[in-house]
Amino acid sequence: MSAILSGRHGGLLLLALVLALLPLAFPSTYALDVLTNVGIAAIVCVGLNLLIGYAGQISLGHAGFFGIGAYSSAILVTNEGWPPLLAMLTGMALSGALAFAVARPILALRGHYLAMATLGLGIIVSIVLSQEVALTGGPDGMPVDPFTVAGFELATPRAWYVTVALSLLVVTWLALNLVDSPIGRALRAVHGAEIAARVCGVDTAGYKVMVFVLSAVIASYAGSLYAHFAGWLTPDEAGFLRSIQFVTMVVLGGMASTYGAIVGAALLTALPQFLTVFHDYEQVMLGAVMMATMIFLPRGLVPTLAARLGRREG
Amino acid sequence: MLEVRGLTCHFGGVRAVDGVDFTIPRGGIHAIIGPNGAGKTTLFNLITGVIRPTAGEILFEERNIAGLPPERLARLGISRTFQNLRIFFNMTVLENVLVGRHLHLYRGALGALFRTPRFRRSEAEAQAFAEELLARVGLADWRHRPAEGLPYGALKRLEIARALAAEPRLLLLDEPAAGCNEAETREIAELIGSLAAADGITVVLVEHDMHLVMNICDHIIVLDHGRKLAEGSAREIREDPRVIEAYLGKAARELAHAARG
Repeated sequence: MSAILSGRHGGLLLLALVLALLPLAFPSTYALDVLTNVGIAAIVCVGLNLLIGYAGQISLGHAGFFGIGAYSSAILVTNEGWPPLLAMLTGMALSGALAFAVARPILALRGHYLAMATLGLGIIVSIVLSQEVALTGGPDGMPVDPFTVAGFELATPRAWYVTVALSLLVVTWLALNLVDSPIGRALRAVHGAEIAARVCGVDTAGYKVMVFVLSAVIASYAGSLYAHFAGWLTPDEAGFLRSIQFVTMVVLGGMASTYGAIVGAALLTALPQFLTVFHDYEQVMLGAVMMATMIFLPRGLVPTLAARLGRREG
Repeated sequence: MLEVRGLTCHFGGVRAVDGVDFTIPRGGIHAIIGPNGAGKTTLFNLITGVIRPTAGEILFEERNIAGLPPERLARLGISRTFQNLRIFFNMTVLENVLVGRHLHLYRGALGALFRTPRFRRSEAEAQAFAEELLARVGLADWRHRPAEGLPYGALKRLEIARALAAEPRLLLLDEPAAGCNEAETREIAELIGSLAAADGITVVLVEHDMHLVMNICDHIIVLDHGRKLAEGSAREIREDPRVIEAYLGKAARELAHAARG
């Protein structure tokens, strides 16, 4: 098991298998909707994990980029009649440009200060989205037209699930490739010992900017998918709580573990659905699960379990 | 190869390095020694761009490099190790050395994302190079282990391998034998000797192990209280009364005083 998980293509194959079998195990429309939401969150988290888990730079504002992607699609497609694919790419370009513009001053900060700065960035985006009522419908939200490409419309829950699952597979593949390259090693070196990385010739500031932009563009892509999938968009999707959710998913699943980010996204998206049996105590139970995970599996789910499996099997 | 002129670095009111001048010619093994707090590590940090000087010039191959950041100096061919280990503990032993190889690698983002043939070739070459280096410092069997959990002596050698991966022309080693036992120290001394003799790397080291310094170094610079106290061959330094005074200092004076009654 751990041998498969540790192989370069083995893990990806396993992920593909799980993604293919899940709709067979849970064929209801409701389950497919939950799984699609899991996939969208997982795409964001795989990108965010590159920044937080590998490069060791916190961002409490990534829902802002998710929101820029979502609203670019909503506004440009629904109000302006753009083709959805073009709107999605425009959102990614906007997110990337904003991330690039703020990255150098923000990423010069460390620890709590970086957390505050990214938090501020996310809040600014969500305030703008709430205030620009004429464009975004304000806090009440706005409808989003379906995603169509070349005359084909993504309409059924199954079609959405397949699209999101394939996107997640591609993003995961790219992230795994990046981690196992000079760029990925440079990012991990920044996290491990920044001054030593610089002595090795690594332009640490440049790589921090690169991974910040990359994770923002991925979040924006997921945001665009979400807007069309949900069909209705409110500024909450770009808000503070959403940002915290993304970070929690990454930490819960296990930092510096791409599969961990996916598991974290799956747990925190799907768990509340199962916890509805606790009715009013749903949030309390969710909090309890998270606290227990952090106490008993401090490195996050996947790295801790992988280490234990590896040890047992020698 | 390296020329330092009037180099000064103040931290608040402390003159950590205070108007130091010296020249390190190309080739050979050079040492910077001195009592604790003499400014040796500060001097290394200044030369490698980790901190900026308050005043003075650092000429590397006739070019003033004072104040340049470490990543620029790495491109010019300067590499170093750290007194307090700065290992990438979140990576394997091999990956640590591959980071050291960074500047020699194909680093295109698209190549990495899509694993193009050119990217794979570059990675394979780097891996072979890194494995050779690890064999040279005696860490070949550990290459796929996480750096975390390696014994101290192994980490010291890993830092040297990582610095060598950049193929530097000037290598600064900050206490390479600190915390090593006698056998390990001997291995490190042999390694340093071969770097200078076989690879033609100019080596400068800071070291407290006087036995090691006197045995392998061609040229020694003595610092005390941020100033250069003496400079010369091992024999000259050993017999220099100012150096003896600085090292034995108070204890020697008191002994002499007691002897006089």
